[in-house]
Amino acid sequence: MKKVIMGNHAVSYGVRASDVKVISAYPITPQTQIVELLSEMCAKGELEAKFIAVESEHSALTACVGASAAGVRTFTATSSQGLLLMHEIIHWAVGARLPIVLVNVNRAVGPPWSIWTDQNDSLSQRDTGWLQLYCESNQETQDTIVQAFKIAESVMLPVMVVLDAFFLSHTFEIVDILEPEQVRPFLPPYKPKNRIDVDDPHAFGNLASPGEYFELRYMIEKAMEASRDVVRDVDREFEQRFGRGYGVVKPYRCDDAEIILVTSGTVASTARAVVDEMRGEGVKIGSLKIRVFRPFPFEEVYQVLSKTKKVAVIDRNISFGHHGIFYQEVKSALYGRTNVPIIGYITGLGGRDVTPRVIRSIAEKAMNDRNAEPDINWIGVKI
Amino acid sequence: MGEKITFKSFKEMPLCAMSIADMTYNFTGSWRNVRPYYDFKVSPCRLGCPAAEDIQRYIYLATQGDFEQAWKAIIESNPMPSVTGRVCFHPCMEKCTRKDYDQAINIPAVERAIGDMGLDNPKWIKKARATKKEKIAVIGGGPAGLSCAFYLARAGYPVTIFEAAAALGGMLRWGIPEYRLPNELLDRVVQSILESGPITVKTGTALGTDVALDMLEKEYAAVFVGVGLTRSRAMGVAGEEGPGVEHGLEFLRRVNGGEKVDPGKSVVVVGGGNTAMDVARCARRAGSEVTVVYRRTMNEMPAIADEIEEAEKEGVFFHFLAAPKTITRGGSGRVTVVFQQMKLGQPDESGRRRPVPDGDKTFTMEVDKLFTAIGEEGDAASFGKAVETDGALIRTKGAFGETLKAKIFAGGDIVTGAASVVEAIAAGRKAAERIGRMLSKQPEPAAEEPRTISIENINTAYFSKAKRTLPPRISVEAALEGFREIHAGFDEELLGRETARCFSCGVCNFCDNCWVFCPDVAVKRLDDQYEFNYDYCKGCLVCVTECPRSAISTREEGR
Amino acid sequence: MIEIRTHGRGGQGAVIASEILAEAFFREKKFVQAFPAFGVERRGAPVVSFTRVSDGEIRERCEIYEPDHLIVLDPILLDTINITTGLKEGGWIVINTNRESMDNEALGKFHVATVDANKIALKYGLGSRSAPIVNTAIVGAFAGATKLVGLDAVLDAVEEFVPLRKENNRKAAEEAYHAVAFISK
Repeated sequence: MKKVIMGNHAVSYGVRASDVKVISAYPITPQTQIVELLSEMCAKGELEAKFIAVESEHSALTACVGASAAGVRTFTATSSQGLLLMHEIIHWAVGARLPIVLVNVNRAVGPPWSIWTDQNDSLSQRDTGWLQLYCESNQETQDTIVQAFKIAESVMLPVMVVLDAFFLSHTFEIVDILEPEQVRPFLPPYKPKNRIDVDDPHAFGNLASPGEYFELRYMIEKAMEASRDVVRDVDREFEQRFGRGYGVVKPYRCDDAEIILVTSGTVASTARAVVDEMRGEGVKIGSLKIRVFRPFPFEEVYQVLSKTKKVAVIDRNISFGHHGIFYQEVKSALYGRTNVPIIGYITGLGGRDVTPRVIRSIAEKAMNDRNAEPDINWIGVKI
Repeated sequence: MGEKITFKSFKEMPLCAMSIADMTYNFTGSWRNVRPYYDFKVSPCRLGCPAAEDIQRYIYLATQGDFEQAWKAIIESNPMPSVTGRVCFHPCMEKCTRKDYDQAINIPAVERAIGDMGLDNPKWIKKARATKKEKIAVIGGGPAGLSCAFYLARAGYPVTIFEAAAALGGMLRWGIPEYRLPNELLDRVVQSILESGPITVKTGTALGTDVALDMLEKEYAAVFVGVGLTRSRAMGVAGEEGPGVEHGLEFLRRVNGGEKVDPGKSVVVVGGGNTAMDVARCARRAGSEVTVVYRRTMNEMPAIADEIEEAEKEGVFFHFLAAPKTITRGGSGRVTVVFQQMKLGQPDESGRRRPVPDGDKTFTMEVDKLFTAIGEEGDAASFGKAVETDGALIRTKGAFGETLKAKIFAGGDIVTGAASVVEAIAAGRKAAERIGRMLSKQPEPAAEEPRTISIENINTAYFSKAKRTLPPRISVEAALEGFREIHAGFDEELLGRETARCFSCGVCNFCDNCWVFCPDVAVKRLDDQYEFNYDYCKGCLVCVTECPRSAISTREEGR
Repeated sequence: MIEIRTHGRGGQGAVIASEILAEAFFREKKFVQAFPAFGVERRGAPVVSFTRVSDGEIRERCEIYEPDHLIVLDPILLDTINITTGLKEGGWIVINTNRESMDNEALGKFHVATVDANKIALKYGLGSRSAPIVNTAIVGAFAGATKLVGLDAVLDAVEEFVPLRKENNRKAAEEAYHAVAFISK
């Protein structure tokens, strides 16, 4: 059934459709409505899940770790400082190989306090071993939640689904809402191989000597690598079943493009409008949305970008001392395989609006910029 | 004990860190380098009690509503808590740890309440049968003798009490006024003791006149002498013999015997001890104007502070630093007393500053009656040659009232000089225990230095400040109308409120903190105790920190 | 694509108004998008929210700087901020006011419609005298003035989006739809 709902509620409906059994979360703007609606659903019995109220995000994720280790499907949502407070347990969930799904609503990190969007909170969790999927619409958000559980449970790694604060979280648009009965054949109940079970006791989280730890890390990386195919296949199966697919990356009018804008999140959506506008003016331009950030889709990115003449990466984030993070990733994906100039642009930090005009200015600047710039290109900064 | 498994390749490993098999080959308890263990100390109040009553324990039992067991816990050390709860000078409260936090627990009020419950529930005590053949004589039916008889009878020894007076109780009956210890209550206490075992009583039988100590020594397997101090000490002042001057104890004996006394309009009491206070307050009740004259200051008064305070409330005047010098009598029947003014000199052997005459300063009082209350002494003549005496007191050796004669034991004021009820009770019990060991040829227990705690060992974060609970009392006006008890006892609500204040120093009271805080779930809660599971205790000692009362100690492993 | 910007004050229901409007267009098979400009929401502070309507997928995910139409829930805002910034020539401005005429010169380039949404809201018991909730009435007025969306769709949207007093809100929207007055057409 199609309804006009906000992005946060699209998340809640995705969780409902996924038959989640334990939800634990701590409220934080701009995420709060996600768990508000979920707790309502639990209270009304629309979702047969245990909602565990806790006193911090650290505890929220810890509760999910415990529940997931006990063998049930778990979910939490957070944002910004909350995600950072979870950081210790973010690592734990990976090492314990727990298929938790977490939604992070991208919100800039303080100080100064900000409630508006940028990607530094989730990208600062880049090296923890979580899969990260960035969404651009409410429909994609709901659908990605469902996909995320299937992916997580097949590779036994946690998955973070990411959406922009306000530009998605609080934006109302039409969503074709998934019902649990529709989803069940796609996402069967979670049945872990190992779980905490009083009838079959084991020690968990043990001390691992140098003789064992290394191998366990190796296995995490192997699982991450294996997840590339899983992410792609799950999306394809989802598309076959529900008619909506999102891809690992989403190229738009790239086939003959001489310049390609690399984007993520809601900027990817707005950029497509700019591509159409400039194509109408005869500019051979395309855009590439990176939906799956971890595992990074090296091959897919290479396949698209190696055929163009120039790449402009738009980052709504910054790795202080080393450019935007998507820029770093794209460069390393293409390193040694092509000589296409890659130029990085940083914009939209702390919720600064990334309008078609801003994106167009990046495209126009990129067309004139000759080669890879050693310096960061700041778009819109008032200096 | 599980077995260690070694992986041959990483492919055998599980996805995450988890044991494949039983981990009991390597308990986490092996990490521990320090071990906590339950180690109950002796609470300071118990150390402060001459009778060593297990105060912490009976208060704890009362908090659990188990008054029968609480009463039994007291009876282990003291057969008459109803008495000591009323008249004891409660040195326990001086030691109470709570004194260093807000106010000491009102221990006597708790003891009195539980003691009175014991009197109201005669079924709580099971009468002991005479299981031993050795007969024992107890001379003197005061607190020392009653206590000794009680513990011997409980152990199965047939006991005969020889009492000079017509009724048992000694100083409790004759020396303490009814507003402090009602006769009717004392009768019940005595009755409860007599009913506890094979005790025969011979009243009106005085030592030295009706029975001789050396005869008893022959007839009985053991003899306990607890006759107390029977003679009032003389002041050594010219004119003290004669009308208008009376020993305070004589006066109290008449009052306690129910006589309607009339000491006259103005009365002076010489002395600063409990007898002086009792005499003064009894005289106030008879309508006299009373002045207590004491040769030192209020600070040196040996009387219980509460008694001094009550006497002041009841309108007794105090005149310090004065001692009678001469007493003369005029025709009016009144006595004229010349007092020497005193001052404090160097401390004497008791540590109190000795009073010395302040030059030749004197003053004169004309009163209807002068009571002396400067102490009592024993009647050495009554012992014959059966025991060695030291002045008018019996000389003992050791802590259990042993005299130089193997079969004769002694305790109470006749050994210590004028002391307290609780000390007499303790002496009686200790002698009884020693006699029992002697007759059954049991070895003496090894003396152990008791370990205790102080306020530094209490985790006061767990306690909120709360004032001492006071029992209801009658007004001073009502008190002066007769001999009603000043204080009522605690009802169960007040008892609950006051017992809840107890820190339970050094002794577990099942607060569950160790069990709750243990991060390794290594504390097991059994029916009546906790137990460490050392397989899993990692020695973090959170239990030690969070035990509010230092009932857990630690020791290093491998030592 | 139609882009509508709504101006109000915290507590008047401007954000919900933009959402009801989106829902109404959705019921007429349009693609829609609605969202507030996010500030620290405080009662009485100026609030802006946005509605996009299109026959196809809406890709722009940013605020609206050049709206086609304006909805103004508090006429005092006309004097305090430059509300018509970016408004396309010939666009509609639907204003909640009890004034019969507007002397704001800047409004001359636009179609201006007014409705006394406060009065209508109070008539149906929506909000208090000091803070009437006018969102349903103003959406009705917008539909009545612009005829961009039908009354039935508006009433259905009100039914869907308003949590309480659904019937009174419907009546307020309907009355405002008919009561809208035109200052310049």
